[in-house]
Amino acid sequence: MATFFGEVLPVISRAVDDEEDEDEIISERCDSFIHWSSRIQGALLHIPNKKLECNILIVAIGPAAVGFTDTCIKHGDYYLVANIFSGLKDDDRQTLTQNAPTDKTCYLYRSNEDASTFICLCNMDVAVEQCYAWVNELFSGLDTDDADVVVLNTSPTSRFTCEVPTSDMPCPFLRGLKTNKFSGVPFCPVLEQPNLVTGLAAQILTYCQAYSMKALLYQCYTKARKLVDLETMKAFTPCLESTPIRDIIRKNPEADKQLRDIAQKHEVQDTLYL
Amino acid sequence: MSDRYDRAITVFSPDGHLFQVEYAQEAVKKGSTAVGVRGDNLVVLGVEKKAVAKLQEERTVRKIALLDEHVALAFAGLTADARILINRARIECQSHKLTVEDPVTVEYITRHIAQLKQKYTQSNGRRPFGLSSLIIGFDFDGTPHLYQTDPSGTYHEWKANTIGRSAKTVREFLEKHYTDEVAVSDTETIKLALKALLEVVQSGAKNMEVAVMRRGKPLQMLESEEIEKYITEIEKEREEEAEKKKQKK
Repeated sequence: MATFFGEVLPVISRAVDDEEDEDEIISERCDSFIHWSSRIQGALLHIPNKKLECNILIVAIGPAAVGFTDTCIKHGDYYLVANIFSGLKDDDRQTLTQNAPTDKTCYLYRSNEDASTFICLCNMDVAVEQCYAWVNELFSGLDTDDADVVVLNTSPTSRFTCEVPTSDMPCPFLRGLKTNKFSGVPFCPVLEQPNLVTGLAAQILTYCQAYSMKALLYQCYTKARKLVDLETMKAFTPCLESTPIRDIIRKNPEADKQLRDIAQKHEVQDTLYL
Repeated sequence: MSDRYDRAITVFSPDGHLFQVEYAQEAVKKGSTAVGVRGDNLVVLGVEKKAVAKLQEERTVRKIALLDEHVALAFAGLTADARILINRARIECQSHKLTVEDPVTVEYITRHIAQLKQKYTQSNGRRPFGLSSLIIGFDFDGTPHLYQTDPSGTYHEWKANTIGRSAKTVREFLEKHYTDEVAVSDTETIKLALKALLEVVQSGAKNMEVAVMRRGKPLQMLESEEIEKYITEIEKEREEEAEKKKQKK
């Protein structure tokens, strides 16, 4: 705007706050990416398609599934092969060793006894927009054409829709979902319509369906705060009898105590309800 | 399912639900188990004690509170709501004593607590108390009482009852094992409360808190050694019973 004296002044409207633009918080999440251990990086160089052969892949999502898988499935001889990073939030706290049950980590393990068995423990909050990259990264290094994929996940009961009120249902309970290629049936009831699986579990199942892979999801609906307590972890126990998990496990005599310890670590500072 | 009838507390759904009140009852189930058993000469409260964090003062994490010298309360549900409710009840106990020069009866204080809870289900801009409580005590004529209140403001008197997580399992256990013979014996009454708790608490005495009120005596919190002693007795009895069953076979 030009004044009487010919100066050009910037036009400032009082209707909008100009400073808003400067303060705008840039909330950009990076895509997930996988970092293979140096041992695997070396091994991958000698494989033509740069993929490790995988016959069984178990993915545990969320603290309850991770706690259960860690104590009851992965207690045998496994070694760390990769870490999938999806970023941390400001209030996420980690221990120095980054292997406490409450740490936000995502590790991929491989069996020492059967090199084609992999277990992925994802204790991290993977944002919806990161799920696509997360799944692609995970499968980028695994040759999963004939693999059995099992996904363990938890969800709050309040998201479960059915004719009876969920308060009258015995909680926690399991629901299953499978891809077309998986020929068997889940041991628990199939997830009823109109219920939806969302997030990372849905993304993995979608990937497996699109690439005609055998995949099975066990979803545990729970009322526990933060989706983890002893009952929720124990709710996955019937999975140990199902294919392909029953082929790879060895009984863990300490399982009960370890599960209780994990539950306690999650609950110990929570006195909202007494 | 709830079709937004759960937004306002004072609005009924077409099929007669007050959803917020029902949700508050769900909050109660998030709390750990509390058991109350009434005997002829004493009343017992047993609760599952939460494991406290390493640096936390155990003294301040309590599920059992004294309302007056002769009335005590155990709650399950939202801790902070309980604090407010306990404060109000304590004040009422004192004010009653000052006004009528008699201590409150257990039913009077229960009704007062229930009334307060009910008020919070019928007025706007409020939410119900997210807790149930077991109230024990003796009236001045020497009769023992055990009452239970819930978030809706309902209250009833019980011989034995439980609130909190797995309440259904524990109640079934109590229904099966409570008899008049149990009520006559002080030790059996305490043991029944402990047995009921053992149905859901796995790690034994260190995760339990037991309060006993005897006629004319102040509330007594049992030491963990004492609880341990009772539990050993219970285990012994169970083993003997199992032996007997084996022999019958």
